[in-house]
Amino acid sequence: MYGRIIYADQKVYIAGNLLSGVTSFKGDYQVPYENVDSLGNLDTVQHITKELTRNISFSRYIVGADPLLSLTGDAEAGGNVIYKNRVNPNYQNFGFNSGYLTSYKVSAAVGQLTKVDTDFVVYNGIGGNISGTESVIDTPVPFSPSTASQISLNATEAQTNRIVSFDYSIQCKRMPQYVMGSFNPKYVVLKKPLPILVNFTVEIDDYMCNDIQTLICNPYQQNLTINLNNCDGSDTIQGYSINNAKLINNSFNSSLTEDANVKLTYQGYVI
Amino acid sequence: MLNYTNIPVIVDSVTYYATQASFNVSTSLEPVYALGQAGKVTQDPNGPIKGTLSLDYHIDQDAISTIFDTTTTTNLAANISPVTVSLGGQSFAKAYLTSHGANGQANQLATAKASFDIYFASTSAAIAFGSAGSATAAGGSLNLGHGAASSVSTVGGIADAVSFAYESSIQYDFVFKMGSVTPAAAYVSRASKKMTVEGYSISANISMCGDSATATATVSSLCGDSSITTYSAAGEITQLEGSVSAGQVGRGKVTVTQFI
Repeated sequence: MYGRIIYADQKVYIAGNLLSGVTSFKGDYQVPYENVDSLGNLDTVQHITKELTRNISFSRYIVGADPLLSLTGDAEAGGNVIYKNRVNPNYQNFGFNSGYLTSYKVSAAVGQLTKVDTDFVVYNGIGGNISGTESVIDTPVPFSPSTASQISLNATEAQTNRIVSFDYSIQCKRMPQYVMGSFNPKYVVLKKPLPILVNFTVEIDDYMCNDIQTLICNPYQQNLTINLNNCDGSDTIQGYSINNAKLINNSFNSSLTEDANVKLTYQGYVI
Repeated sequence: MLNYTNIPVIVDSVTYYATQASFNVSTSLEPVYALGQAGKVTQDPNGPIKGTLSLDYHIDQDAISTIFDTTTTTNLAANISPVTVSLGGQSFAKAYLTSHGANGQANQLATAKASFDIYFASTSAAIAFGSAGSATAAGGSLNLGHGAASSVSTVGGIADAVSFAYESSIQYDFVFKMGSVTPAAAYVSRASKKMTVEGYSISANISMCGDSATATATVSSLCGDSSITTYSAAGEITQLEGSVSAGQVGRGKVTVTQFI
């Protein structure tokens, strides 16, 4: 009684995988009760008037090949965070079923560990005593975090200039198709193609921005590949790519406190 | 001035969880002109005082549906008795149901609507609205029909309905006699029911001579034990629709019309 539960007490399982390097986990839901006003009546009559809201999000360090990257497709996943009695069958947890990945964002910067933020929307149960239906692999991936020094990025801007940070994100828009008789959708459709955004911050040596007028009919595009390599650089533990990525945003910045830099955004789609 | 909480809607002694109600009443005065006279000579009525009243409501029960069914089945050939409809302190004793409908959709409260033709017993009528209100009605059932608890029977290949829209209507032959300003009798001349069901795919025949089908929607509350009411149209498939837009999934609609 009156105990507290610290990070070391908690284990996070997603899609049956015991995740390593988790830095935060958040699960929330809202039951949208609203008062129903009616003529001649001053009672408070509250009813659910729209869809339930159910979300999961968590952040991790990249510590190896990411088992969750495959969830950018049609597959659903469950999971939970066990926060008490974790070695006892009567554990306490917060979990979910039928979660669909909606956002996957990898970010890295010089001097930092590579992070990945993932968001899920849930279309079934969420809360205590729910843990997903997947078979559990109770062996965590060895904790071998990816750092900026182990990342290779083939952008043309990096040839004579310095990319000091980037993020790579995939948005998976889910379109729940509801039918009468249930608060859970009968079908969940993935909106394709999936948009991919890559943002760079480039410290400038000789980089010069394109004139926007030239980009209207001749967009600047390139195939981008980001590889997170192991410690000695001999193997790629996780790769990300985007083909025919178009430059859509260019922000030149100079100030008294920073080197001149430019923030670039490339956008592409994957089918 | 009255707040909405002091304006209950009562139809045939049943109070409704109405979200909107309105009425209008008008005379049929017309000017009378005559040769040799500049301007109108007088104005005379060309018919009785008439009005309409409509309401939208949440479904905790639906006795108006029963009024429709009784009017168009057991009383189909009989002289139809009007019902009393009141809106706040204003009561209309000679109201004839002319249309009734209901809508249900996944994740939302089900709603219904109705409209009435109003007649009066004399050549003038005192109308008072918004001043003398009724006491706030006691709360009724807390169980309102909800799309997440309701169901629609399979029709036109739609097994999992996204929504339904039910409409019914009655046209009357009103019989007047000399010396009276109110209908001496009212008989049903035309009546029909129509149910449109929307789903993700349809599979049905449409025929010039009619292809039989029955669409039934059962409206239930989320936390109630049993269904609240049922709407049904047992007739012919009269319309099939399909639509899709970029980025969305295709949807289809089947409409069943029952002529009475």
